[in-house]
Amino acid sequence: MTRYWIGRILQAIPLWIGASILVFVVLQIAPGDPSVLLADPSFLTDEQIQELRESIGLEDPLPTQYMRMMAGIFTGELRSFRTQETTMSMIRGAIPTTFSVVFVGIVVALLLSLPLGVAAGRRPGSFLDRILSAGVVVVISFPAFVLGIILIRLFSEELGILPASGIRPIDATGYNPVEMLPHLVLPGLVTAFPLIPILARYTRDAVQDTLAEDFVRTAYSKGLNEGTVLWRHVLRNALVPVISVIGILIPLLLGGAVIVEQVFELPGIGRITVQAAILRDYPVVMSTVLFSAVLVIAANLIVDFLYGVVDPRIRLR
Amino acid sequence: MNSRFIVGVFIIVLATVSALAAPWISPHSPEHQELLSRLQGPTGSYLLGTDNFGRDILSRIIWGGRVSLSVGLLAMVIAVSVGVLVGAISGYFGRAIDAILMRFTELMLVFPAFFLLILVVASFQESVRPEDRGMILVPMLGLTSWAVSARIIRGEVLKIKQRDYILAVHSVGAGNARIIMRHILPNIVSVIIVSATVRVGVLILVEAGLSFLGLGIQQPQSSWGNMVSDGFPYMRQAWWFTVFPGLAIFITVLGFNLIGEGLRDLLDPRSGKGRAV
Repeated sequence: MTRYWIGRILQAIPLWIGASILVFVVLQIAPGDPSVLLADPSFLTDEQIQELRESIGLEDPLPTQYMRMMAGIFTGELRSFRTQETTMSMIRGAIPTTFSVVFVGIVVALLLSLPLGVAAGRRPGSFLDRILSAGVVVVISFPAFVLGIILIRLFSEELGILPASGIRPIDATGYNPVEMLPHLVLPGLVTAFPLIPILARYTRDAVQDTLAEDFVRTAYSKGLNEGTVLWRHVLRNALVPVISVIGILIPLLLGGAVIVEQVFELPGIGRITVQAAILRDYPVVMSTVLFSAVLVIAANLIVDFLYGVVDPRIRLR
Repeated sequence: MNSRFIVGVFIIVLATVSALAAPWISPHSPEHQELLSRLQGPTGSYLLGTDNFGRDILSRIIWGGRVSLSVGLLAMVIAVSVGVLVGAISGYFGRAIDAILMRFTELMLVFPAFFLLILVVASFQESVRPEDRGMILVPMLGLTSWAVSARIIRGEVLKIKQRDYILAVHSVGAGNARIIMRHILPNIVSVIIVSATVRVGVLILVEAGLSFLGLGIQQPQSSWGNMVSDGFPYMRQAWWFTVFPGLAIFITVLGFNLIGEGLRDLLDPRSGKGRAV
């Protein structure tokens, strides 16, 4: 068992290194000279530009530059071109925001989609089932940022019951979940929105398949009532495919977080990335992109681990 | 006939015709500013209202459709072509080639799509004039989104490769390229078409998202995404400025998704699971 997990983690390392090389290559073939972004090139002599390039190490051979970048990421010494803040501390400051939004999004999505999926799976072809099937197409076609804007207009401006921006009250210093909750409702809903019909559909299919299994008949014949059978026996088995879908959707969720953070002005990883991209602050963009890759790899490992928790039979294979 | 397919085709034909016929059907010039009628609600002369420069929203949506649709379609062509090429070669030849190509595909999938795109767009956008952004966006979107298609195609090729008739054409001396082009790809054309249709919708959404973030199509060119973004600060006074371009994105993407779903049912009635992902 332990060997399996060590193997899995070892396999993930070359993937991440490959990802870092890909990012480095993209930045190398990108036109333009990052050094001219630090000062107005029209006021610089050629010598000054040369000096500037040497000072930030752009004149070194490419492998040296790559190794230095990677070393910088690992030691936490890689710094933003602009603010000189380490990218590590920028990411650390943004993690609570992005994680809480994605977490609330997943929880809201599960709370809504599981009952929906179970209800639809119990009666295939019913009205609810057909609505659900049509709902998937409609929901995945709806741009998240438009939904966010509409929600802000409705709940923040019209009704004035929820904050439109920020992750916590302005005077807050820590990340207190109770204080953050009102701030997380709208971003969480926008994050959950595309997930709901997708998860509900997977739950529905899985519930429908599981209901046909022998052990369900056994459970009924033991005299268990329908609720117990559905929630204790059917749903637990049906959760396996649902969990794997969440794993597949993690990259999508993180991508969605970029938009959600922009709409609700949340200081998360997505917003840092977009701002750094617009200002062409390469070290920051590079760090956040590689960090997001770590998250995707980690999410896949966690999902595989959860399989074993939900369905003990999988552990043995 | 499948009703979803028909509705989808109707939407896309309407969107395409209005984009192509933009110079003749748009009521105003998309750039014409009527400063005295800024942020005007929908009226007889401005059916969908005006924006903060007094420009006609309807006309800008019609012209913006040219950008959104062509970026979506062209990027899809690149994404699906690369996807088919990688998927077919990987699935057909197997062994080392498969291993290398699939590791590379996994590499592309390790990045959340938006993060990779932001990196690429940020690196390249300064090298072109703002009005040419659309053209540089196409290869970027295409080259960052082929991995999903490649995986699907590879899986299909692996299935077809096992069939007896492939062995038969092999034994009569057909070359690899001929087998792939003439005997394998025609059998998975339905899978390719379905994934291509859905991909156009996804790419239109991604382009709109990037433009909304200020990284895609930029002013003065109108794209549905940057219209939504421009209207955002005016949401309180002028909801139409944001909502109508947003609806244009939604309806068009819905059209492509409906065609995709409809086609899937028409071409392969057995499949019904896992439509959305």
